[in-house]
Amino acid sequence: MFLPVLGGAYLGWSLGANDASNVFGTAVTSRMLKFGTATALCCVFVILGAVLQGHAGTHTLGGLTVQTPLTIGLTAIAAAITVTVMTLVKLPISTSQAVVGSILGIGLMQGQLNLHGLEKVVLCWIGTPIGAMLLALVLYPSAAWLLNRLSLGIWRQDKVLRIALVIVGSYGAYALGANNVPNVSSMFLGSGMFDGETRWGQLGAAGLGGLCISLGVITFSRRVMDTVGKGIVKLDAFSALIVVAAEAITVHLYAMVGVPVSTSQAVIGAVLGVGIIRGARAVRLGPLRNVAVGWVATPGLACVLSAGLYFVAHLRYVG
Amino acid sequence: MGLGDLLFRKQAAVEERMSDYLKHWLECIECFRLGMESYLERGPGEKLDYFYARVDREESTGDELRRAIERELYEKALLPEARGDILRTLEGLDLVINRCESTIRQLVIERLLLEPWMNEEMHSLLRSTLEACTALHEAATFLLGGKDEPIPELVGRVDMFESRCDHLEQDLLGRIFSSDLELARKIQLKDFVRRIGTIADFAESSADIIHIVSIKRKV
Repeated sequence: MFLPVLGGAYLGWSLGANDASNVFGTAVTSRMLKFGTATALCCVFVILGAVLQGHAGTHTLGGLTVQTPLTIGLTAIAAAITVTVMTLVKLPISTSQAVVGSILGIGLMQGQLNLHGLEKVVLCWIGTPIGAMLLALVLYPSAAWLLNRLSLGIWRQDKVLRIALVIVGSYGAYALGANNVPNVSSMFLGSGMFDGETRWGQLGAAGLGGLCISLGVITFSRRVMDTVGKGIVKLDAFSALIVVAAEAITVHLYAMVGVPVSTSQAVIGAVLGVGIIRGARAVRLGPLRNVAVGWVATPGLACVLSAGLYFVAHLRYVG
Repeated sequence: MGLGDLLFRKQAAVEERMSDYLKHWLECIECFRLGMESYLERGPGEKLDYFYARVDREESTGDELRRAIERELYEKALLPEARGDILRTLEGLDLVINRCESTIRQLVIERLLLEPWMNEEMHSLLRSTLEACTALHEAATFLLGGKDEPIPELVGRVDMFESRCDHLEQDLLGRIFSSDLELARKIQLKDFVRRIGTIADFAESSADIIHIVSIKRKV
């Protein structure tokens, strides 16, 4: 039981460190919100999302392959190492892809892979950036129309945008918890620490997953926030608001479908949507390309790592 | 203290200081008007000195407020775009009162006497300059008060008075240089006329900034 719980906690921590940037990165780096305030809000809403809506995706991940406590632990560790490596090189990558990559690695080594479940996951991955982009394309002109009609003036517009950023960021954190916690809670459930058949067991696993994510947010999310906030696109407050709103809605929708997807991919899709409306010059393509490389490398690295760990774990001394 | 006050404490401080700044700015322009009118009617004297002292005081208070606002803005009181907009507006307004102060100071130092034939046109130049400043102040007040609609018309007024100042300035300079005055005197008068003329130029630049800020805030 110890290995899967430790692996799950590590994975939750790395998820929080990496993905908090997608909901509060722009607000923090432009000093609209203090880092402390952002992390506090993020933690509260991640845990709320995890507890209230975070169990649907657990079945999807569990359905990809048959797992034992040992393979669950290996899956979590491989995914967490992958996410940590990507976080250290300041790339906002997908934790869900790391988890699925790890599961695939284990499944390949075991020779028992359920490709039917994988189709759904991969389709949702593709749908995530596209969906967020389409949402941004709709949200941006609608919200701009409303804001211009209200004609709030310089001070009130500033207040409204800042309040909206806090609300939308908190909703983004809720969606992150609801969508991504199955990546972590499925490890705790698989370890036998909680009874996955009961409601309280599911809640406990989701709550603990949310806590681990929160720990990652508090201790290590600042670096990636800087990358997201400053590196990818020069976002004004209004555009940042639309990006986070489109990302949060997309990720929340997938949470309801029960597929853990990437907040990073949703953010990049939304940024592209805003970039299309504002003119392509607003988007810096270099860092976007790097992130795209991370998307491909993440499941690949996680798959190789988990397969390698599985191989090492099954080495036997032959005397 | 309500939650809103707590969340937007810094913003409320900047708002209050901006409102104070505009009051001092207008007071500075008013003292400049009184000083210049006294000068045009009676020449340099105690009254000019008195109003110079008041212009100087108002301008210094304006500078202190501006620095306090800038400090608060650099401490991230507002969203980045609003910060930039407020700073640019403030810098533009500040140039106008700086020039008023330096113009009246020049008179106090040089004790310059105008030629009698300059009087009427100098009055007109002063009136147009002050009209431009008043329209600029109204535009700034509307911008910060959240009403953008009257701004284009006010900016147009500033532009119109600035053009009038340009014509008057050109006429005066033409008359100065076609007169029989000594070259040194001509240059001294030219310097003074041009200095007054630049007040309206600065007012126009500042009004343009306000216009751009009001347009660009539309998303």
